[in-house]
Amino acid sequence: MKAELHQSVIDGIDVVTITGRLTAAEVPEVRQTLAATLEQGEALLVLDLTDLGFVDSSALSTFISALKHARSRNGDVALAGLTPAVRALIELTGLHQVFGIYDDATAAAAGLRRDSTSGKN
Amino acid sequence: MMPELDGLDLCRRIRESNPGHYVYFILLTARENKQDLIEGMNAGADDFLTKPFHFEELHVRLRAAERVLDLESALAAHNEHLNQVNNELETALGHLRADLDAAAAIQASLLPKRPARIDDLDLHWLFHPAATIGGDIFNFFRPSDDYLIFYHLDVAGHGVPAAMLSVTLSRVLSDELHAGQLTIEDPGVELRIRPPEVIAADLNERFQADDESSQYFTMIYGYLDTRTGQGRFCQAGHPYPLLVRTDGNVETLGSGGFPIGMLEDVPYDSIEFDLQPGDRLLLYSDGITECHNPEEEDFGPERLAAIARACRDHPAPDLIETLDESLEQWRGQNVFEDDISLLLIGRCRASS
Repeated sequence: MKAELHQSVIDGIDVVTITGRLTAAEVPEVRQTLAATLEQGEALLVLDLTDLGFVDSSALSTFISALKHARSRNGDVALAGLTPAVRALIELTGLHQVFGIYDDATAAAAGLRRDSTSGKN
Repeated sequence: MMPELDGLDLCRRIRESNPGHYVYFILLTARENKQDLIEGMNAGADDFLTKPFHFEELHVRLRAAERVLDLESALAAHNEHLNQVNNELETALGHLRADLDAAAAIQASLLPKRPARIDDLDLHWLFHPAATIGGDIFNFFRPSDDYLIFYHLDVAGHGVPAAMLSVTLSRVLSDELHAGQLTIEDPGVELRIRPPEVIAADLNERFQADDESSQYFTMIYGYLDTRTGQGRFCQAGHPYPLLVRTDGNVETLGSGGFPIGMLEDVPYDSIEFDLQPGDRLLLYSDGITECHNPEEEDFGPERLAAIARACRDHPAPDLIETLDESLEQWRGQNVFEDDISLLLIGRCRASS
């Protein structure tokens, strides 16, 4: 039942796919993986959540710390493929106002690339 | 040779006597006989020597015995060390349990004491911390005769770190400390309530989590003018409050907002609501809506709303009890993974 992480690259942008259920117990591991990914390259990261069924409110902190980390390096984090439960939590906590949100990882990677070259961040 | 006791009996007696250290037993026998060997080993002998024996043979058998006994005494020392550590751990665990119980008592003392009737307001709640202590806390108080201030909050995570922050917050949001913080009192002017979104922004500035601790919290904080039933609240990432009308309509209030302490310098807003005679406002934590049944299905806000609707003509304690029973049935054998809490603010019907 625990969340699984899978790393890939689309168009030179890191994508971390998180599947399953993300809860407080997995915060340290996920946080570390995301931080390690952001330490390399341009600090542009897509979180592909297409198969993430559930996030609890403490696990949201992993997205936030990744975002703060990325922005401290002039990068950014985008969220892709929100399931209804995850979308509901993101909207409840106002986070759709701080993350770029896309239908899928390819669109998210293209969005990050566009924003980074236009100097939005 | 022993006149009244043969070797086998001696061996049995030594094994029964349990002298506190291991006695290595070599049985000396005249015959080489399988049955004797089996009987001897059954009686507790470790080794066997057949007469007539060679000293050389006795020597190597004693060397073997020495190895076994050395091992035995090393194990005994190790066991004693383990026992000592175990006793220390048990003592330490006892202290920790006592501390946790004391912390739980402090936390419980910060919750409202008993269901309250304040003018025509009726206040009830449900609270089950997931561990001994929890991250959910709620309360209400009257800064003046005309207002009720209320809050319900949920610190991310649970256990000691969450409880420490929730206790701190309950002191910040308290009746004793409201003047100048939650309310503005100018001499000669009626007491004013500071807007909920301002309180939320203040708290967000004061309780910014450092990146590692992720100690943020979600909250509903608001006030109600008890004369008119008009109120405002700020929703900071906390589940949407439900407003149960007398006609059975259940309204979902709010449109979300940032949790407190998660992001710096983010804006907060508040929304207005009106609590008419017979209406009930329900504030609750996600421990209720995210309570899982064995099939991993959420209890969800719809079930909460359905219970509130079904119980709308019953006294508030009936609603609380029905909800409590439904949650218990829903989770089945599961333990509550998160704190369960709900605060009900009802306005009595005009006739009562």
